[in-house]
Formats: sequence, structure tokens, C-alpha cells
Amino acid sequence: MIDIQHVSRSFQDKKKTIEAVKGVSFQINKGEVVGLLGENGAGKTTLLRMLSTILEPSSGTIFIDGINIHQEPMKIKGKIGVLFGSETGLYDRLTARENLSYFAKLHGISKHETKTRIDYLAVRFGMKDYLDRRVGGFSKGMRQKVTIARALIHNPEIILLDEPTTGLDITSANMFRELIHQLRKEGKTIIFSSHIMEEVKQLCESIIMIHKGEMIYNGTTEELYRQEESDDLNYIFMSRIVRGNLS
Amino acid sequence: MTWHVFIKELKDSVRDRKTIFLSVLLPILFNVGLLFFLENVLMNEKVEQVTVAVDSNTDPVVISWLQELKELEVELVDDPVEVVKDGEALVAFIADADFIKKLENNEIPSISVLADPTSTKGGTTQDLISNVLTIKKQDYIAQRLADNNIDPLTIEPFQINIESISEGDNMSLYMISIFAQLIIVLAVLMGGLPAANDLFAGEKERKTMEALLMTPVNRFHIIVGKWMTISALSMLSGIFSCITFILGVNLFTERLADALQLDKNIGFFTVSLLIGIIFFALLISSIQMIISLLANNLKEAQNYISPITTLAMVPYFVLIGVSVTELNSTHFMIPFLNIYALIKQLIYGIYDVTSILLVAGSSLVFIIISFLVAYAMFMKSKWVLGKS
Repeated sequence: MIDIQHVSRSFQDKKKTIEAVKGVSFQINKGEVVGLLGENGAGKTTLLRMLSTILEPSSGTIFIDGINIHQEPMKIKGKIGVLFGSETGLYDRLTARENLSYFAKLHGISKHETKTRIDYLAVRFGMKDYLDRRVGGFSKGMRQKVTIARALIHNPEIILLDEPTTGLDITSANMFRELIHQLRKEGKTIIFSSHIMEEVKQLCESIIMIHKGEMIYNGTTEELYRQEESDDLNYIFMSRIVRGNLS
Repeated sequence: MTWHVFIKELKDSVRDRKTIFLSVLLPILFNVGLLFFLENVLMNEKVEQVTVAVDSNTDPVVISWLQELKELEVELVDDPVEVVKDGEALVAFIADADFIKKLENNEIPSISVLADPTSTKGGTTQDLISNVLTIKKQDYIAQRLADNNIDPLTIEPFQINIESISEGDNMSLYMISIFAQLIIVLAVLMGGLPAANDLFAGEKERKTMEALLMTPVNRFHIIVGKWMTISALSMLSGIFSCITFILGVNLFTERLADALQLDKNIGFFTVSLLIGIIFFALLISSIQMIISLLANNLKEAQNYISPITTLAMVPYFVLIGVSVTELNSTHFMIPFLNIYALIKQLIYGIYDVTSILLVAGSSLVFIIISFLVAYAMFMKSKWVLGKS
């Protein structure tokens, strides 16, 4: 279970302090698929970065399976797979296989297991034809597939996806949605942020809305529809944002 | 884990054309070009003729003095200064038309030798002409003294002998020393530079750093792996440059090869130079890591690193006028200065264990300090992730 307690994160920008996340608390159960909704700059990426252990909260704590992830990050890192949206972060001068193999080594996976995982992921994402080509010449869709394969190379229990379909063509975006369905069936816990309401509606059973660093909704999609007397997520999102601005 | 990081970074770096160019091709091109320049231009003893514009009214006897010099091509003109200003001659020469007559009448005739002070060749030619005229003047003095029955020793109470204490071809050794320092240090500085920029600032820009930090690998292992990569490339570049320079001197030059007699103590020379290069590479790599961590992207890193690289050349210019006998412990204890001092000493065939130990020891202190600074920065998200 993921347990986030009163987490805040601020950044110092010249003489100004920017509060990116303000006292956010929520829990996510194992196997749940949660959509993280918010405008650009709302604090979604900062929250995901804190969950991925690379950013420490300014205050508050995050527990995964009872472990404080910033006190014992090494125990948790192996359980998390992360994909940060359009920023694929691959080594262009290495082949797709070398990229995957390197991260498998860093996760301490044996040679044999690495080979099995790469073969499996190559088939799963249709990467076999370009597995031994250097990533530098790949299209955005191909890069995104390698990146998600890298995020899954160590078979993590928790998957954090930050706007994974942004900038992808329809085929690649659909492939991702299908992947999230499959991962859900496998019992993975998934948190993904998105701007595409239809995508969130299709895939998530729970939603967390963030506005200007504060959580303005946390609950199931059904409960949200009931509260707002509508199942138009786009409309609900906009009206919540307006209410957030007014309050 | 450090080893995995090192091997991956090394593979990634050597696939980068910039690294190959700066570590391998540039030292070869630089060495070949420099040796060609040294042997064929600086050390060339062939006489090159220089045009001297002589006032056409000058006494023919004086003109004949100039014509005795095979280095000079005498051109009689109406306005020699204008000819020099137009760039058609290097030196203007003006003497009285009745120079010899005035001389015989015990008057004081004058000669003017004019050149552009910014021209080295012009200055050298002025000196050459001045030397010839001095000899002629001495002849006239001797003649006048003899005519008056005065012993020439009367006006020369003592002799001054200015000589070099060095045996052999000191000029060639000096040339090798100043260029070897430059070539080896530059190679170490440049060899790991693309990797240093790429492995921190580049990774921040491409967001691969985030992916790396999300793996369950201790950051210490990651930074050591990266540091080893940058250092290895700097060392390889330095060693490669050193080998090509020495091979180049021995294969393509005559005077420089005669002056650089490495066969006398090649073992000590190699080990000492290797120690110097290794420690300097470790130091410069850790400093380059700090600079790369300060930058948010590659462009910023390149902007920061250029002035630092220029600063690293300052000790070279400090030592250029210091002879090998003037080098003392301080020179071997100051980082950056010590590598130049060590190379200079080794080229001159001075093999001193204390100097090498001082270089290694003082470098080690600064390596530890700069690595710890880099490590502290690497632990902070502000530096390791940049503005993202």
C-alpha cells in the first residue's frame, strides 16, 4: 500500500519560494489504478518524483508497504518502475537492448533473467526488429516503447506514469492504454497522470485531482460522478478547477 | 555496480565522435603540425633573405657593407621609410651620402636603421645590420688608435664572456620542453571534456539522470563510475599524446631527436610521466565533474568549462621563463603548476623521486577535496537534476 502523509515540496527560485505540493495526503491500495489529474504546473510531476524517491519532500512522509521511502530508498527503488512522459531519457548511442540490459544490471538482475525479460518485453511491445539498433535514430513511438520496457525490466510492483501518451500517435497511445489494462490484470499498482480525460475515464477506478499543489479530490470515479451529477469528466475537472480558484 | 556504470559510460563515450576527435585525432594532428612547425620553421637554420630598402643617396661604401651580408637583399629607393610602410621591405636604411668623407674628416656621420617594432623579423634584421656596423666601427676605432700610437687595450680594460652552462643543444631541449608541457596537459584537459560535459550536464538535459537515480544503486557507485570514465579518457588522451609526441620527435625530426635522449633512463621517465598524468587526470576529472554538475545543460557546461580550461593554462605561462634549475618544492606542490614543472624536469633528464612524490601527494589532497565537493553536489537534487 502507498501511504502519503501531509507531503509538501517547495523550491527556491531566486528570491521566491514556490510551493509545488502543499500538504497532500492519500492512500493507494495494491493493484489499484489511480489517475492523477491537474493542470500544467499543478504539482503532479513533483508528486510522482517524490514517489519515485528522486525528490525528497520538504515535509511529510511517504510509506510504501510500511517503509519510509526517503529513509530507506534502496528497499523501495526495486519495487517501482517510472516513466516520465515525453522525456524518454534514453542513451542515444546505445542500442535498445544495451539500454535495457544496463538498467537490468543496475537493478541487480542476472544475465539469464535479463535476456528472458528483454526477449519478453521485445515481443510484448513489438520491438524485436529494432532491438539491436541505436536508439538515436528512433521515432518518438519507438523510443517510448523502449522507455516503458526499461521501466518494466525489473518487473516492478508499482508503476508511475507521468503523461505517458503525450505526443504519441494514435496507435502508440492505444498500445499504452492496452498495456495499462494488462498491467492492471497482473495486479500492478499504477499511478498515472494525464490531460486526456477520456483516457482516465477508461482506465482508472480512482482519481486524485491536484490544483496549485493542493489536492481537491481523492476518491473513486463513481463517487465523483455521483457528487457532480455528471459523468463528463472534462466538465467535472473544469468546474472543480474553477471552484478551486474561487476558494 | 561501479564497474557496470564505468563500462557503460566508457562504451557510450567512445561511441561519441567528439570524444574520439578530441582524445585521438586532435593529439595526432596537433603533434604532427607542431613538430613540422618546430623542425621546419622555428629550428630552420636555412638563411632567408630579407629586403632592406636603402636610401639611394647613401654612400656606396656603406651600401657595400650591407651587400656583404647574404641574408640581406639591398634595394635602392628614394624613400625607404615609405617602402617599409608599404610592406615591400622589412627595414629602411638611411646614411649620409658623404659618409666616408665625413668619417675621414673626423666628423660624425650618422646611419638610421628603421623597422616596425612589432615585426620580429624586422627587429632581427636591425640587430644583424647593427652587428655589422659595430664591427666596421671597431675597425675604424682600431685604425684611429693605431694612427695615434695608442694601445687598443687602453680602451678595453677587461673582457666580458657570456656563455651557457648547458652542454649540448639547449635550444632544442627548451623547445621540446615548452611544447611537451603544452601538448600533454592540453591532451589530458581535453580528453575527458566531452565525457565530463555529457555524463552530468548532458544526462540532466536528456533526463537520463532521473532514470539512473531511480535505480537501486547507491549514488556513490554512480559518481565513482562516471569519474573513472572521465579520468580514464583523460589519461588515455594524455598517454596517447605523449607517445605520439615522442614518436614524432624521434621519427620526424633530427635536432629535436638528438636533444631528447630518452634512451638513457626511459624506465624512470615513463613511470614518472605516467604518475603525473594519472594524478592530473584524476584531479581535472573531478573539477570537470563539479563544473558539469553546476550546469543545467550541455551548452551551459561548455560555457562554464572554457574559461576554466583557459585558467589551467596560466601556470604554463608562469613556468615558461623559469629554468629547470630554478624549480623548487613549491612548484611541485601547487596543483596544475606541478604537472608542468614535472614534465619540464623530465624532459631535461632530471629524475628526482622527491618531485614525483610531491606531485602525487599534493595532487591527492586536491583530488580528495574536489571529489568530495562533486559527491556532495551529486547528493543534492538541486545539482543532480538541474532546473527540471
